[in-house]
Amino acid sequence: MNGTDTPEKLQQLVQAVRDLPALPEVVVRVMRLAEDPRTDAQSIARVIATDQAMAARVLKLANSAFYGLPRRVSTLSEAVVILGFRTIKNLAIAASTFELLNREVAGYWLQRGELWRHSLACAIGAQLIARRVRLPVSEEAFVGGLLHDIGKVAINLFVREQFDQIMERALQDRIPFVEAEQAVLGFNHAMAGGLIAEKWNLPPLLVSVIKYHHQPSSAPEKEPMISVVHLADLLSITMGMGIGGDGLYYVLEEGTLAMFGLEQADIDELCGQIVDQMAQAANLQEQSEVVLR
Amino acid sequence: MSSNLTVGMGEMQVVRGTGHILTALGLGSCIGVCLYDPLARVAGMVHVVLPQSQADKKGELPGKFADTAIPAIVQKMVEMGASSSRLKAAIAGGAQLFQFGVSSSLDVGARNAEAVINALRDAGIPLVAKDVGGSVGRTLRLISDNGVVAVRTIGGAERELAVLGNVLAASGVAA
Repeated sequence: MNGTDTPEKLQQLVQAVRDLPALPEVVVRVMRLAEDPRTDAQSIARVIATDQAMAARVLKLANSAFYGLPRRVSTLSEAVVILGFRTIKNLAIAASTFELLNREVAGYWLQRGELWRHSLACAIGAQLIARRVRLPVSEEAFVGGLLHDIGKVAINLFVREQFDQIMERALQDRIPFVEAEQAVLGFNHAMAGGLIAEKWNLPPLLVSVIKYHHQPSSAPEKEPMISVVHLADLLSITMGMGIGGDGLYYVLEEGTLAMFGLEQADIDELCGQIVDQMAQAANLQEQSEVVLR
Repeated sequence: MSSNLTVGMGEMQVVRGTGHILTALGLGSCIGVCLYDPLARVAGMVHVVLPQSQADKKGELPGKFADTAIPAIVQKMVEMGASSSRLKAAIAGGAQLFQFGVSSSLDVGARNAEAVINALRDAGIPLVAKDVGGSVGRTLRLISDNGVVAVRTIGGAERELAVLGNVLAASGVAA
């Protein structure tokens, strides 16, 4: 295999993406309703209520320490009103992807739970960075961070088969692991993630975040959120949250820190905050493990 | 009683006697510091996340920062019967993003290693062995029976980094 047989390889990728479960119908409907300005809280609550597991997930997550509501939310319509459509939509997306992200991803030497941990750290990091640089979309940043590596689940088997070749290529050509994936397999996990996001009809910004999280400057639209997730990804992996066999063979796109005016002291502080929030989220993770299965 | 304890980010664990294993999983830029008193058989591990504590922040886990972690764990080990003059150390971690030519400003791994080495020197604790730097994740284990320190690179095999219980290992390698 040497990267010349592209259509056949892309076919493999498309098939791998097709093999992944679809986003649950209830999530698709919630997403659609949340985008519609004529929607009211009741109708979103009614849709969520049609899926008991989803209803439980949304209530449980809405009541988790992470969202820090002062009192217990007991009904779905209440949760929708209090949290808002956007949050409910994001909660629904996050809750429905736990299963996939909690898989073992042997191709990257990630044991069961490790990709979830990395994704959660990246989600928390992206939200913290977004707030720090005053982006008005910190919640979308959270979901983008959570889903950025979803493509690893899809191409896991390909990477496992050719891990040694990919690593060798990265070392020999001095290129990041994601570029070596591209060189050896003919596709990479960010590309795969973008296809999954499209298949799930996720909002276009999320599709771009996932697709370009290693090279934000290649994205057709210049959305700072892509760089936010890029930075959060590298920070969480550097700190060892979900560090796999590909280690730290990643590169921070030049100018990322300058774009946000972040300096070393800011980065240290962010790292500290991610660690603190992860310690709290350990709780959320445990809850999620119980509820979301 | 034997135990198998995981030392999470910013945490420290100290044990006495045989049968205990302390583990720091998936170290990236963080540093796992192993300390051992071979006579009292007191073993300690701390999982350092950042080089320096911020003066304005009280109530943080002391294990989070190199400058506060070393004094804190030494004190805890002394409370458990260790003598600070007998302590020996081995460290692992401090990885950073692979340098593809452009120097990365995310160099927390290198700064962590430097800060931990300095803090050990300030405490007068000989550093017997270190496995730091590079762009790989590591898992670090310390066995309380004899102070064996083992490092496994993610995806690789485990290897012995040092035996802190070995009286011959008293001198220290790193500056």
